[in-house]
Amino acid sequence: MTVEATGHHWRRTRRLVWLGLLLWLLVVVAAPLAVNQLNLLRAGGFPLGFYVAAQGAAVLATAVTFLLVRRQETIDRDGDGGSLH
Amino acid sequence: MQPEGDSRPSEDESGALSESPALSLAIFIVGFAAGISILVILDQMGLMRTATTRVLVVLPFLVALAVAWPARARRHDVFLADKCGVSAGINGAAMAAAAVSATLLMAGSGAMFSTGHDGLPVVTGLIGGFMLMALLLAPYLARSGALTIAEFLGHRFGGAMRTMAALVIAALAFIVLAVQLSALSFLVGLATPLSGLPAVAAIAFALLLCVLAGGMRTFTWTGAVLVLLVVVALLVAGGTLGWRTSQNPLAPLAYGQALRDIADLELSLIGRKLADGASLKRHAVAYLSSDALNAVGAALGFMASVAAMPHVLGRSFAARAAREARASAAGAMLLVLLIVVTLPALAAFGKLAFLKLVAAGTELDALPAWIYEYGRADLVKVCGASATAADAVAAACKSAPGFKGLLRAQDLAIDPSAFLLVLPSLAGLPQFFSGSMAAAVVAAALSVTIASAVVLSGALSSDLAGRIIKGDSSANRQLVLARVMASAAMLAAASLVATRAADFALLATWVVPLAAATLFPALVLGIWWRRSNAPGAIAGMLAGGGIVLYYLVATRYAPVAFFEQWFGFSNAGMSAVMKYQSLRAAAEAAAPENAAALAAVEAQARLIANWWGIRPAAAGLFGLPVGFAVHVAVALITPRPGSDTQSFIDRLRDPRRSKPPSAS
Repeated sequence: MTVEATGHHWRRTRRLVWLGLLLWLLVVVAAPLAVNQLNLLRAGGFPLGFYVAAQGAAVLATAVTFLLVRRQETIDRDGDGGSLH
Repeated sequence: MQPEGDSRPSEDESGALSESPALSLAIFIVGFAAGISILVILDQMGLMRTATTRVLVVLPFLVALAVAWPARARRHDVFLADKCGVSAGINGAAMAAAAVSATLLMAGSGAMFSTGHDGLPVVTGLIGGFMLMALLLAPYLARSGALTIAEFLGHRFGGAMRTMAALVIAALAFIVLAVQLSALSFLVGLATPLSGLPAVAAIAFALLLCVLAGGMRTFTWTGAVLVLLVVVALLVAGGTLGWRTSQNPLAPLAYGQALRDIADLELSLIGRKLADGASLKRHAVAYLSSDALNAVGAALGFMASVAAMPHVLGRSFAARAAREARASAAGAMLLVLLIVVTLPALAAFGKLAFLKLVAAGTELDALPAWIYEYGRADLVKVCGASATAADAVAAACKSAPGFKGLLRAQDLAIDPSAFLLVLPSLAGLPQFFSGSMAAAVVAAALSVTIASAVVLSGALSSDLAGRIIKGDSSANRQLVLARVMASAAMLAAASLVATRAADFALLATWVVPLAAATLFPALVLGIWWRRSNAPGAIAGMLAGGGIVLYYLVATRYAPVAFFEQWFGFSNAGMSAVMKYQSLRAAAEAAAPENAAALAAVEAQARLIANWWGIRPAAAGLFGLPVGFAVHVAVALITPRPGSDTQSFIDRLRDPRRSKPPSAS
């Protein structure tokens, strides 16, 4: 049963990490690359593409990381045997 | 093979160690605030102009020394990895301190100032690195119970890998140590009468005392205090500038107006012939000094190296559980975020002040005093000559092409890596800010120096020498060995800096892709891929590190041979290739060994010796894929890892190890 519980826990962990890598790719790698397209828009007085590369992507990535970390804590608590009895 | 279970300090020892730094920290913060207010008052009264700067630059050293003794270590696991229980908040601050180096602050902000948008990959690079670390690496390292990255890799891949990783880590940590030490000696030389050998010796001695006292334990507390100093210094400077330009003290939100003014001024200066379109890189326009491929490559290199850099990632071993390691990485990310989103704002305010100075139609005899002040330190050039005095500037500008009496944008060159130091004078902030910016950079350099010295000592003592010296390997002996190695490392780095035997700016660029290509694939695959084995890890590390090292060294030191070898991969245009060929023909026609002609060939070859136009900073673009691919390919054709390794992986993945210490 413990092996099974750990396997289940690890599958959920792995799914979350793939999601995290996808978000990482979109937010930190891809979004700053769209600078010339985004610069056509303005946000709060900034050319959006410049702003995303300078601040937007970093702020969003930090927020996403905090959410992912919280989600992983829930997964770890469940895998701890707490809800599997 | 299996590591010992977490050995925990007895209650009273951990109490004594964690209480006293907290107390001395509190005393220090109060004293610090009082000292700063006195300095601000004196500064406003116009007294102590350079004394303020001196005091502020020396201050971070005093912080480090004040914390060193209370945070001393009595066991080698405390010395190498602060294994005596530090809260996730403090650990996160220390992790952030390890990631924020003087190079990041100086070269990073300088690139944003001089190239605008194209200097930004460092922002996403750092933040993305912490995201990868929190998701993929830090929690699993904390579960392993190892003390160093090499020891972790040894548990996963065996002794040969531990030796190789320790050698790689020692080399990387040595470069980081030397680069930060050279930044420190430069800054101390700028602000105080000390310079050259006495400065390097004094700095290295003070820092060695800190390292010897408590190693990683000292770094926890120095790093945590000093990174706050960096954050406060940058936020206050940014806030002041933001308030002046748009009545908004939140600099990262306040420089929109500055960007608009920059764009208008750029056009009007070109129109008035006070700037030329070719050399003035428009601030908010992308890819004028770089291209998308190099931007992604540089960002990926930063990310993988921040995530895997031993003195940053190694802080995970101080966390008591996976949960705390994740919280540390996320907390560090928040502090680093405050720093990296402020830098582009500071760069924009600086650029605006620079353009305004030119737009005001400044004549040579009306140049502001700071130009000469920094010119004498060789940090500001006017018309291509160091601005040491008015007549030197006048002489240089007389022969500058097209110069008509008014300073043009291309005539005034601020050394990008000194931008942050020059910014307060450039933007007309009070003298106090010049000192606080210098103090921030000193603080950053100082924490990274201490952290990398400890990592280097750990690799040399615990992972290399400690395993060769047979016999008595008591914890006490390990601690003595670690301290001896720390002293040797500091001495070696100090002599390198004092003799200036290396190009430190170049090494600072190189260490990023090298760390990314060697350590990141091995760590990620070791944790996330069960099938990964020792031959794969060793081959991947050699191949990834090897290709990056070859690219960096060959394009720099043997550009002619590199270009001839890889002619088809170069992105050189037709005219550049023709220029190269005619130079080479001229060199061959000239008398044998004509140095000037050969140098011209080499200089031209250096411009075109590349693969697909990729620059050294973006060399992670080869290193990472090659490192991963070779690792996977070799692992698949060699046997799967044994049951020892399988149970080690099980342990890393078992959430029940994240329980509080009582569980194990």
